[in-house]
Amino acid sequence: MILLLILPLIFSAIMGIFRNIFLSKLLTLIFSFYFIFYVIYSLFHTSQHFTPYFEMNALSCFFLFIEALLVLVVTLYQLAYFKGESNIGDRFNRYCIFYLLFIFSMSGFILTTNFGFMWIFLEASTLSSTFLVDYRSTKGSTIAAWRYVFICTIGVAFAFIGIIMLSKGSAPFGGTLFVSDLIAHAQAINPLYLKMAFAFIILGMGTKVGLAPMHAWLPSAHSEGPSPVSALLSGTLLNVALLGIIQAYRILESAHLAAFCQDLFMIFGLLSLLFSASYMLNCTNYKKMLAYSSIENMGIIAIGLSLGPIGYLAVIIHIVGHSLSKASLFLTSGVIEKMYHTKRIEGVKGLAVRSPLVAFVWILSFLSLIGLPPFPIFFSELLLIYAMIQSGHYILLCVFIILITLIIYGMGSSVFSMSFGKATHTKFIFKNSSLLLAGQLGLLLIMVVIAFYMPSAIHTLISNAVSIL
Amino acid sequence: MENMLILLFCLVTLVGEVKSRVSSHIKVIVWQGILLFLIFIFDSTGAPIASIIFIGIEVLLIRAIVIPIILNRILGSTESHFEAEHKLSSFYSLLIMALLFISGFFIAYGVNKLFTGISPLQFGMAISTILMGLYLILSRKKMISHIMGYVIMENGILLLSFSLLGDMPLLISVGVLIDFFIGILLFRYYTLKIFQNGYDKRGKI
Amino acid sequence: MILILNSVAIILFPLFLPGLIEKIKSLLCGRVGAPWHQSFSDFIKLLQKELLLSKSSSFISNLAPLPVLISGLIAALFVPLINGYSLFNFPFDFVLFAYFLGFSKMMTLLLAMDSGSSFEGMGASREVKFTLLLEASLFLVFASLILVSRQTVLTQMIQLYHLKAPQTIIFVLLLIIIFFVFMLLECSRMPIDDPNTHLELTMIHEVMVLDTSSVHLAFFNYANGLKLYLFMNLIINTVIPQTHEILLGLIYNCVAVLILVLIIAFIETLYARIRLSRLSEFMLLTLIGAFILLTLILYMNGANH
Repeated sequence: MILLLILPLIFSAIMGIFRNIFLSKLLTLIFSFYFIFYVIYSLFHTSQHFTPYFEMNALSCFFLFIEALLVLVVTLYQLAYFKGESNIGDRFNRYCIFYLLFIFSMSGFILTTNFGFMWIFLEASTLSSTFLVDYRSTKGSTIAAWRYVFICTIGVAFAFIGIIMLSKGSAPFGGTLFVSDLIAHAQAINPLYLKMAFAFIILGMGTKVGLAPMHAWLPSAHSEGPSPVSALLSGTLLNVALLGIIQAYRILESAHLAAFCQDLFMIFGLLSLLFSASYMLNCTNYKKMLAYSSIENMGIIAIGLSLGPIGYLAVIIHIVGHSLSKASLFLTSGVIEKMYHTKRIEGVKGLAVRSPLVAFVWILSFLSLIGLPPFPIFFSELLLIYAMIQSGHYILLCVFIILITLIIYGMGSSVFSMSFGKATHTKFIFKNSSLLLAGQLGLLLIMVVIAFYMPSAIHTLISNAVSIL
Repeated sequence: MENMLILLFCLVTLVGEVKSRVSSHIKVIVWQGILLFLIFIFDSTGAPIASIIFIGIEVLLIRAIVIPIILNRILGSTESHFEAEHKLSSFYSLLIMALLFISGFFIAYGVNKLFTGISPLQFGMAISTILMGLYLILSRKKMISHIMGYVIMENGILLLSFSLLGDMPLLISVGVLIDFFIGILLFRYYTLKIFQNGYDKRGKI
Repeated sequence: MILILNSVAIILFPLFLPGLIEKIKSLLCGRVGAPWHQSFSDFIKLLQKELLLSKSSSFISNLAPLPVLISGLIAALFVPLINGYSLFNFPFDFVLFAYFLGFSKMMTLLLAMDSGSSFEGMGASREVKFTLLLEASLFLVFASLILVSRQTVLTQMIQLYHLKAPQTIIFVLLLIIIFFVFMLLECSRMPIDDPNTHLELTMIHEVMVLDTSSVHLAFFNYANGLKLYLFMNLIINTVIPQTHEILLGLIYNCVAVLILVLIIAFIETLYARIRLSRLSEFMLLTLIGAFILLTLILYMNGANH
């Protein structure tokens, strides 16, 4: 585990010293391969320690697995994506450095067991991904990066207040911030401290997750960055921040205050769905549409968490499904943007005519996102609806179904209007590189395969993760 | 004596709301830094003298001197002087800020019954300052006003952590400071970039 | 004896105070200015002039100035004057005091709206907006005074000099400032209202009495001075100890009135009138100050239990 954390730092130092593009690409590729091998290895060797601060259990292994998969796909993708850019050079070098630092901060957050370190890694992830968003340095992206860093820094400051309250609450036991200690002593902590701490943590880390109404930075930041960055932000960063909230939730759960947290989750989840639905009905920018869909899915996950233990399996499956399909959607949208040079939906027509393979991947990813079988989101939404009926939240069920239908309608009309129709005559000729689509096809394949056959290791991983929750 | 200081700490934020110039907000931040230092000196008990002096000087130095200097540089280089423009009218803005200030008292009163071991006025005023800083961020149009609101919020968070944890443990204080600092530097970088490329209109995005 | 002295003070002081302020203002500006008894001479002159009433106004224009004068005089009954002695007092008399002041203001507003010109209606609406906020702060100040001094008679409530605790200094300061602002509003002084302007855009109080002449105008001027004197006495009696020596009390009162007159003249010279859109913010700030005062006192009382 030491290597996983130290390697990005060493590699980025080397890249900073040598500033060679080929070396940068090679190092990122090496690291992503190492990452995925390490995660597969740790599937069979769960529960390892580094120091008391970093520990691997089933939940963190699960999140790490998704991150490793996405990092591999995105690294392969970005080798071919940045080929046609004009000022490749020093800028791309800095991009690779910040890219590795970003991955380091995310994996550090997942692995750490101390709230203080979690906070440090969260802040580091904001700071390192700001440059990634602002890679192209246009007006839209600079303003988006400014909004991102500002709102997320405020959010992280709120999370800090929550962590201080947790520390004050555990002062009788020495002011510990370790998750396991807090869970063990949760009953003895003053419940008011726990409640206030959770409220601040969900407000703060919810900013990074993208729960409405703290989502103001998400549409612009996810749509203005280059597509591999958007895929990573949507696919992993939101999950990572969600893990932070889940750790706090576990503490309150063992103190029997789960009902309070579930109310908060429900409020934020419904608000996210509402905001997302209100945009989707008339969207003009397909990358913003995908960003709002991230907000919606995070809202669905929050609602899943609010249903109590019956919803946990649905939440885990939904996290998997959302990350993989959102990543493939973003990467495909990058290909579309390279072909049509516009981000507006009206500017893209006749994808099926110009390039049937791209259209196939685009539509298939979209279908996987909205929940068609055999993709995982189908199962997760089914389980969610079953859990809602079981726990008697009928009104919630109706509102949920109406909002999701609206979102599917909005997204679907945009996606299909982009794919079919007469091809517009454009002057841009674009040579498709196979690398650009291989990743998405791989992800989609994985999702289909999971439905029918799951290796036993992954099966035990998921069930352990659920039991930890 | 320290009650007076805590009250003044929150009152200067209110005063900063009334004045309409952006540079008066910087003076508010300077006053808050000095008051924080004084509160810290008057109220810390039990910790070794060296630690108190070190943290006190660090608070004074960074929050009352270095941060305002950086803010002044941002102000000068992005040429967004003069009025801090409101989105609401200044009358209702003042009303809301005053309500937030008074709610600090009510929070202090409510907390007094429920918690033990913390100073209630400090807690209430700290939360009130955080809310006022948040309101400053939400209700102003200029980017520099947003940054000022963030700094005021950070000052409130420092007071809050001080009231909850007694004296500041060194690690937390240094960690917060580093984060705060890097945040401000990054803000400066981006505001400068936005200004130099002409993406803003007199300081507003 | 004190009774006669106070009654004479009520009649004489308001006639001379505005003239004094004007004289000091002129001296500060480097002019010689009108003589210090100018307001008294104006009063006499106005009494000898002919009364003119507009044809488009109703009986209210004839009627209104008298209640203004009389309610001012009745309100003066409750205020502690020389030696901290008020001509008439009973528990909770400050309510009557505030309401009589409000009544006189209401009569002025009726007079303004009765004259039929939109000019005066505009001044009336401006005046009401500011009075709204400031009346609330006045009552909050009275409430905090009751809490601090535990008396309900205005004369005894005001006397804060015998409270020894150090935090009462802040209370006294805040109190004096709020009373001062109220005085500036009621008597239409800068920086709330310019008493010398007759420009349409800038008049607030002057415009309401624009149409009055001779006796009515004399009454309004006198009522203005009376309110000035009453609020000055409220401020004075907060800090000056009550004595039983008549001469000593008279000297205290005159000196303090002179000091306050100097302060008002300085403020009028140094400050321009606050922009109208800012003025409502200023009033709100005073209201907030009064509210903070009350909350502070409640908190200190609660914390002591």
